Amino acid sequence: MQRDRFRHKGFFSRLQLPVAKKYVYPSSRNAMFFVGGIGAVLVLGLFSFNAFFQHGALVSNGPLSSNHAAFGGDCSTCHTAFQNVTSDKCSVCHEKFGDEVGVHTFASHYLYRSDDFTRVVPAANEPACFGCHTEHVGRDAPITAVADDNCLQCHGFGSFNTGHPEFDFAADSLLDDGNLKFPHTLHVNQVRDRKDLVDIEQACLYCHNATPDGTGFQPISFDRNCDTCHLTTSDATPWVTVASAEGPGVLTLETLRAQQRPGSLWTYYTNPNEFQDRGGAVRKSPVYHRDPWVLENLRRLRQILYPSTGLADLLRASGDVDPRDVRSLYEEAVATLDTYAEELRSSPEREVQQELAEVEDLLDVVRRRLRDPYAPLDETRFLVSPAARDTSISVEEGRAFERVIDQLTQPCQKCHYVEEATIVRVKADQGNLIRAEFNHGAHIIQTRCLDCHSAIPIRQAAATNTTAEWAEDNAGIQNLPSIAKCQTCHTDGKASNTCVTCHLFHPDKSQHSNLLQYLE
Amino acid sequence: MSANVADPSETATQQQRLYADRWSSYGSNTGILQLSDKLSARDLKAYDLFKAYDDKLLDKLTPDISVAKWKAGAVLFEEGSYLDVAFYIVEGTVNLYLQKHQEPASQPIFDTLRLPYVESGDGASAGVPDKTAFVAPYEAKEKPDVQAKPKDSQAAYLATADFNLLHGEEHRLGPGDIFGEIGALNGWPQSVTARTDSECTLVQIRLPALQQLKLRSSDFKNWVDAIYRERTLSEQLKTTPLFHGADERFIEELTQRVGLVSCSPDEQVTVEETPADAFYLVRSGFLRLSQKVGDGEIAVTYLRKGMTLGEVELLVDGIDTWQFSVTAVGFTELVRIARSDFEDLIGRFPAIQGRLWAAAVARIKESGYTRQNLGQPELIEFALDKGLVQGNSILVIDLDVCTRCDDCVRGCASTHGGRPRFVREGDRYDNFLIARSCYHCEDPVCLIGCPTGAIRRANVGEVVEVADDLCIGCGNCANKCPYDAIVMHDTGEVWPDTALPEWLRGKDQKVASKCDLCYTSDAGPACVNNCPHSCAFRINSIEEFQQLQSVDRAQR
Amino acid sequence: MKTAVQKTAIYQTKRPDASRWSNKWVQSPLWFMGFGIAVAVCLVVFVLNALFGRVHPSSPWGLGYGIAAAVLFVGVFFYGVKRRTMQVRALGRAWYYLQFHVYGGTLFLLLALMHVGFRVPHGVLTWWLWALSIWVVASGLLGIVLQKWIPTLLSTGVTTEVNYDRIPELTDEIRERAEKLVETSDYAVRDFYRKDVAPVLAAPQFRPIYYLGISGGLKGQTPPFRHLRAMLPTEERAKLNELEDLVGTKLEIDAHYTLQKALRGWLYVHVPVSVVLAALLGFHIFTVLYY
Repeated sequence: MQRDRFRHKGFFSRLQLPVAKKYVYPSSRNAMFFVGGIGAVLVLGLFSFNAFFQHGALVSNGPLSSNHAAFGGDCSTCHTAFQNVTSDKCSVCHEKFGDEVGVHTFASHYLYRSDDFTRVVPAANEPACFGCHTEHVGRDAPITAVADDNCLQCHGFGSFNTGHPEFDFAADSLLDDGNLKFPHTLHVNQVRDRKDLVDIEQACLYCHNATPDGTGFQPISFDRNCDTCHLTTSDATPWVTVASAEGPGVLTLETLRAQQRPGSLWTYYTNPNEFQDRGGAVRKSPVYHRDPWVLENLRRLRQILYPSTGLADLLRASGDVDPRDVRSLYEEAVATLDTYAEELRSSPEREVQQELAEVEDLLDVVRRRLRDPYAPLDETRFLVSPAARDTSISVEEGRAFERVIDQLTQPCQKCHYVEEATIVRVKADQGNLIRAEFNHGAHIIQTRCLDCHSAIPIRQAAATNTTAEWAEDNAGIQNLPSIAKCQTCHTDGKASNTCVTCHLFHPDKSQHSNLLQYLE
Repeated sequence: MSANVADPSETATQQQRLYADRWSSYGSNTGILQLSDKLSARDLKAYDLFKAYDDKLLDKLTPDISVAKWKAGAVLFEEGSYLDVAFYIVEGTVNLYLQKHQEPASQPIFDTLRLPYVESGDGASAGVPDKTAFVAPYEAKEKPDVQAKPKDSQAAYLATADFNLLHGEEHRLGPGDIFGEIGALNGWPQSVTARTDSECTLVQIRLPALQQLKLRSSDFKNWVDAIYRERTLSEQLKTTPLFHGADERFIEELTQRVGLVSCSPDEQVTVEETPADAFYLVRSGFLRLSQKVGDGEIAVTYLRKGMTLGEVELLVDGIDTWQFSVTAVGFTELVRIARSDFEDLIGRFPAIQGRLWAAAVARIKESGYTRQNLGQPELIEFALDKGLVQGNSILVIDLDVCTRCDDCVRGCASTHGGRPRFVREGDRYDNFLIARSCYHCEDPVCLIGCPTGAIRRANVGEVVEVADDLCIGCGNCANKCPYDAIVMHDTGEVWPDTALPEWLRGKDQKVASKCDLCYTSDAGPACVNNCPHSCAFRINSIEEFQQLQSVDRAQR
Repeated sequence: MKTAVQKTAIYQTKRPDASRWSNKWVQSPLWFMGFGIAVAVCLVVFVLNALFGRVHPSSPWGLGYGIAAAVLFVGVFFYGVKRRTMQVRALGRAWYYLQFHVYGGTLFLLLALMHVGFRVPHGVLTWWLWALSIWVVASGLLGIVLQKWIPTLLSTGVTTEVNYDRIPELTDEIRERAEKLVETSDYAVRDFYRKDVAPVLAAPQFRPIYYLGISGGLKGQTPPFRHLRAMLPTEERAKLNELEDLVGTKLEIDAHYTLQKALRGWLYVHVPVSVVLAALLGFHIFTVLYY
């Protein structure tokens, strides 16, 4: 630019207008953008190179959890370009090999994928794994610690302490087991007296034996828990009418042995001296738990009363089954049917072989349904249908049958109920929390049994030492607390109250909930 | 260079185009059928108008004079536009009429109450006893609200009123008539729209030539003055609110008796404490009013066109001498009403006194205010000195806020092809920088002496622009501009061989560059638009400058 | 015919929405209120989020904050585009862009911090995004402080007004004038000039002392004219006075040089980093979509 631009009379006599392009778009600004641009290119280059040609650690939103740390070097293990992390990628390890290597499996998610009663989300809308399991939040981040808001997006309540629904059994006043005549107070006091126990809780544990891992209790079994006191050698049936032309009755051991029906092998092992016969009436002493003579006779009587029950007479259960019991029932059916089929196999008769084919067919169906988590457990061929009572039997005759059944099952009825010629099934397991886990071991060292199980006034009864009273308390045989009890400790600032505290989706093998047992 | 080998006919065409361009500054050139080439003195002598002048003068003036043949029905100019051209009809007739129903509210050209420092609106009109008592003929012409001052700072057009027309009325001018000269000489906008009635031959005289013609021949001056008196002055006086209620015939007599005074710069109009002998109306230019204080003088206020002088002295009993020393700032035109005439007027029409009193009181208040506020005379002196009073659009930058980022200048440059049209330097008043950017003066001296007419009113408000394709870079305007607002740019190129006039060829091409207020853009001036801190302002007047100051003080 | 432009469109005398609540720091109460409301809304939303859910970048809430922040960032960047190109004139005054730049930029940081739940991110890329966001906004706020403080300092402290770009040229001119002035003076003045004045006039000088106070800075630099003046004849005194004026002007120019340097210099810590931030932000969005 020439200096001799128009001479003017302005400030310092020279008015110069900046006409250069450099002025309008000054180099300082260019420089700033240039420097920034170079920095941007460098940084972008570094990150891109790292992302596409290296392990991508710079681009990663954070370190992987230690479980997945081994995959940190290869993003494509989990990531697909322009897609979310698909659950298929997770299943490569967790579904295919999970069971074998013992890592967390998808199995426990079947609950949410099946047509189970808890199903909320249709399978098509099922959230992807990454939706709950957030990765890249640090090496030590527990990715199984799913945050509550993942759950609460669909479950519309605030938290465990605000709006969590009451436990089903408490909400519906569901009887855990109304099929056993059992007074807790009486038993506690008697056990305490006999064993000379100081502590009531010791009396609890006398019957409720912990599982080896201490998280729960073994199911109560007659042999283990009741046998000591109940059905001693002195117990006997009353005189029971023997079947004759005049009317219904039981068959004697000899008759049964002579008939040689399939499944009557026990007749050869039964001591005939246990029977007293006074002609027209028979009596057995002692009576055992699941006494084969009693049960065989009961079954025969049932078959007469309910001719169309089919295979149902194999099962010691009524048709009215709690849905939560269905699985146990299936399992029992398999066991019974197996035994039965085994005996049938030895008989070549055509009818017997026909029946065997039928039984084996049923076994097949039941087994398959047990295996397949998606199959509904709604097979009823082996169940008693109360509607099927033989209508040709007159009311008068029916009464005679019932009298015989009553006589036959009198020792049983001390604890059991008999309905429709069937001893009502007692629930074998104690699991009532079907969607959540409860670890007794974790709680028992901090609190007493009766602090939570306070529905039945066992403590008060123990204090007054009333031993003789028959306090019927099978309304809550497990004496379960309501959710409010849990919430006193499990609340913000105290014991943990997240969803996954109780609702474990990836419990380890030894810790499967009852619910999960259904699946195995 | 392709320009070097252009054929002569093309050169002629180009010349014709440039010349035509120059003569169409007031409108489109579509109406011109034929435009004379540059005329010689002898050519001019063919017209009666120029017979009295010697050849030497005419030779000098000839670039500013042209003869054009206009087609019938062409619009020469519209009302409200600023022209620096007068038209002399040689042949044909021209029709004058009002085109627009309601222009931005027109104001009467002389108003006693127009004072620079009285808060607009309330203060002034409070002095008017009853508005409806003075129904002016002007108001009758479907122009409501003439008395109401426009609100805020929005400037209103001053009506030249050189033709007194009702809406829908027409006025026909024939050969030998001159029109447009009043607007051109006084810097007033045209009050009517002119359209050729038939095919017309017009002699077009630009302002510089017009001023010279008026200066050199008393005949011409008298003729123009007579036209002014006849066509305009009586109407202006009639519409002046001051004379509302006076008999029209009396005003017409008065019109013949008033003196038309022209003052040169710094000429003393009145001397303080000498007997007051006349009442003045300012036609154009500025007057400085000062008073003695102690040994010195302080400027009390200034008068601009349309304002009046002398009401205190002529009205108030016991004050018979001038209260102010009045000097002209630059060339100033005044209308002088002798004391005897004035007293006669008041005697006959006592109603006039009401408005005069209001004005007198306002003037007295103003001088009192000035004495109490010592910043006031300083600002007035500054404004008169630096020409702020001239300004129609002054770029002011608040230095308290300005971060010196220069985006105003850059914005200007980017709007004008990389060449900024001002620099962020200039005089400083208080914390305001008066940037050296064109003020778009009331009376633009830069227009005088441009050999090609490249610098002109852009026909939009008061905007003065330089037409790049006409500018030959002579630098006259830049030298004339008292405020350093015009700068010559080197384009970095050389005039091509086809350039006109011929002496330019081969020389460095320069171009005059000045603010054009970005009038072609709807976004407004780029400097203001691009200021990120909102510290650049375009102000219309000193009043707005004061407003800006007070707002700024309040916010500090 | 050229279209007549309304006068009001051409003349601009007031700040776009100046009111009596405007002051130096808050030019427009309207924008400020808008900003305040936006901040309040953000905080309320965040508190609600924290109450009813988990604050995480990939949660729907967090994603929302992130998207809002990114949109704001793009909007904020338009100020730079406008200043660099000057071409978007029709789209409104630069002032609006700056207001949006300042308030939107601050809001951007708030939203970005909400996006990460006011935690420090784990990843390298995300950590840099976090750090640069803070840096850019903090340097921007520093810029605001400078831009409010220095102009006042300049308008109250010095009487001259100087174009930064012309400073070297003006300094040269002052020196030339001073030298011409001294050439014809007597020995004492020439000696004084050589010893005390010449170093001052040599070149534009950057003196951080001006940041502390202009008048003090000026005083400290002025050579001892007073002592010399007493010894000189009247004629020489006039020259000395003129020289003193020149030195005074030069020192004021120095003050301008020093202070305006800060007005320009801070941009270097703001703009390049923001360009890098823009690039990283783009990359971040890409990776979020990609992975």
